[in-house]
Amino acid sequence: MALVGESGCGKSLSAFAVLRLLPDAVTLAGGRILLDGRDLASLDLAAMAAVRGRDASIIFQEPTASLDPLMPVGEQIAEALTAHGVATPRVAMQRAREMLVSIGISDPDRRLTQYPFELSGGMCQRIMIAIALICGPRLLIADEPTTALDVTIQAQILHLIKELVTARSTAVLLITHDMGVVADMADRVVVMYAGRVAETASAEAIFKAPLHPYTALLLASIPHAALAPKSRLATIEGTVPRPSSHGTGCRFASRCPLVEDKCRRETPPLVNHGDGHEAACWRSRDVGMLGVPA
Amino acid sequence: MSQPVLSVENAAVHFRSRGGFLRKSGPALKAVDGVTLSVQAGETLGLVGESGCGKSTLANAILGLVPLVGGTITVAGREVRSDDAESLRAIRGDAQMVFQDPALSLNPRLSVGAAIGEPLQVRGLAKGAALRDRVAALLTAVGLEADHASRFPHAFSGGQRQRIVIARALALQPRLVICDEPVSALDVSVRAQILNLLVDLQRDTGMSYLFVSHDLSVVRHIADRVAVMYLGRIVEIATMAVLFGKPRHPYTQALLLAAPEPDPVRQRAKARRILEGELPSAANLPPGCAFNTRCPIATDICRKDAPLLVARKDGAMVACHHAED
Repeated sequence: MALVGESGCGKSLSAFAVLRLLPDAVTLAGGRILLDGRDLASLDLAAMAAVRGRDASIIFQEPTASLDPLMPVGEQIAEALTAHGVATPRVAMQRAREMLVSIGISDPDRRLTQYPFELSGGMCQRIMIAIALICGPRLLIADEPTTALDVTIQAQILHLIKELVTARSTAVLLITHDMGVVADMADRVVVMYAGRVAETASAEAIFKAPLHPYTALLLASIPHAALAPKSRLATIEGTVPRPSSHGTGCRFASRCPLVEDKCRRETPPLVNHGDGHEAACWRSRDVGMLGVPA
Repeated sequence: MSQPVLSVENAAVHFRSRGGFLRKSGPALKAVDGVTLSVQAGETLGLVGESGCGKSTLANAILGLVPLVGGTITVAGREVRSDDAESLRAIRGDAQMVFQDPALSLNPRLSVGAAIGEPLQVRGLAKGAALRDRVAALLTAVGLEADHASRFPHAFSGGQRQRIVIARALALQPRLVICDEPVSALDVSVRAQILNLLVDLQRDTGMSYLFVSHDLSVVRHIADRVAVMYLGRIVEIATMAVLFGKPRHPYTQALLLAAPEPDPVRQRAKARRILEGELPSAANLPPGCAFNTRCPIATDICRKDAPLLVARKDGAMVACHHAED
C-alpha cells in the first residue's frame, strides 16, 4: 500500500500517528487506528511502546540520522529484540547476524561491530530495515525510504524490501512522493491532499483511470517516456491552502479546473466506484476529460 | 557548425585533502578527470550521474568557481581562467547558474527587485526607472507580477523563489544557463511549472542550457543531448533519442533500468537487473575503467586499460571496451 501526496499533505503525520510518534504540539484528535483488529489509538504509552518495533515498525528517509552514532550497528539490531524481552543479548546478537546474512550483507561479523559513520547511506538503510524487521512485525511503515539515496542504490533497497516482506508476509505502508516508486512497489495507492484522502484504488486503476482531478493532474505533470520531448506538462495552478483556512467544501476546490458551486459548499465524501476504487469528488465522472496521459 | 557556446576540452579538477601535523596530504581526489563536451547555441545538454560523480564540480568549473588542473573551458569563445577576475567577469555575463535550493540562493535581506537588478546595476547597464522597468519585464517573463519586486524572498513559495532565481540569471541575457538540479527540491506539480518555463524561455531567447540532474525522466523531457558521468568521466554522450532508445554503456543501461517509471505496466515489465555494489571513492579509483568493480560484463582489459570515448556510427560517443556498435 502506498500513501502519496505532495509536501505538507499529511502523509507522514498519518503514518506517525499509527505509531504515536507525533510531535508534542500535535494530538490525535479522533478516530481509530486498527492493527489486526486492535485499536492502537486507545492504548496507553506503555502498551504502545510494546507495539512499536514488535507489531509495527518504521523506517525513515535519512538512515544515517535514524541510527545511534555511538553504538555499533550489531547492538542496535539486537536491541530491538532485547528491548521487547524476546531474546537474551547473546541470542539477539546471533539473530542480528542471521538477519544481516538474509539481507545479503557480506562479511556480517565485521559489519556488526561497525558504527554508522563507517557505512554508506545505502548500507545504513539496510541496517534500519534489519532493525525494523527482526521482530517479525505485521506492519512496516516506510517513510520515503529511498528519497535520500541514488537511483541504483534505490533499486537495490526497493528490491530488498519487496523480497523481505513477501517472504514474511509483512504489510507495508510506503510513504512517497515519487510516482515511479509507487508504480514499482504498490498494490494499492492512497492519494492524500491537504490532510484528507482524495482517492484510493489499485495501482493499475490509479495510473490508468484516476477519478479525482488532483490525482489526474499530478500524474499528467510528471514527465514520462510517452510524452513528446519539451512538450507542455500539466500544472496545478495556485498553492495548497493553509490548514488554518480550511473551510467547508472540497479542499482542492480553489485549484480544481472542474470546480462548480457545490464543491465550495459541500465536502465530497469518499464514494466507492467499484473494485475498491474510491474518490472524494463531486465530479469524478468528468475527470476523464482532463486529458490524462494514456 | 558554428562556434559552440560552451566547449570543455579534457578538463580536470582535482581536490587534495589538506595535510596536517604529522599527516601528509592524501592522494588527489579526481572529481573531474578529462571531460570533453560542447553545447551549441539554443541546445540543452543534460548531464546525469549519481552523487559524487563530479557533475556539479564540472558545472562550478565552467563558471570558474573551482580551478582546473588540466584542459580548457571556453564560454562563447572566451577561455575561463579562474585566477583572472577580469575574464571571469566577462564570462559571467555570458554564463549564469541556477542552483537546486532557491531558498539558499537568495539573500533574505534583499528585496526581489534588488536581487534581480543587482547584476545590471553592478555592471552599470541600467539604473533608476530603466532598471525598474527591466526588473519588471524580467519578473513578468518568469510568470511573476511586476509589483513583486518590492517583496522579500520569505514571502514566496519554493516554486516562486526558483522563478526569481531564474529571472536573476536572465538579467544579463546570458547565452548559457547552467541549471544544477533546478527542480529537485520542488514538488511534482511545481516542478512541471518550472520545466515548462525553462522550455518557453529557451524558445523565446535561443539560449543554451547545461542541465545537471540525477532525474532521468526530467532530463529525457528537456534535453536535446545527454552526457552520462561516472566517477569524474563521461561514459556516454548521445542525442536524447539514441541514449534512451539504445543505451550502449553498461552503466547507462543500469541507470535506465534502475529509474522507476511512473507507469505500473511498463515498470513491472522492465527487465530486473540490479546493479550490485556501490560507487567506489573518487580518491581511490580502481585501475582501468572506473566502472569495472560494478560492471556485469567486465573482463581483464577493463581492469587494466581505461577505455576512451569513441564515436559510433549514429554519433553516440561511448567509453567502453565491450559496448556494441
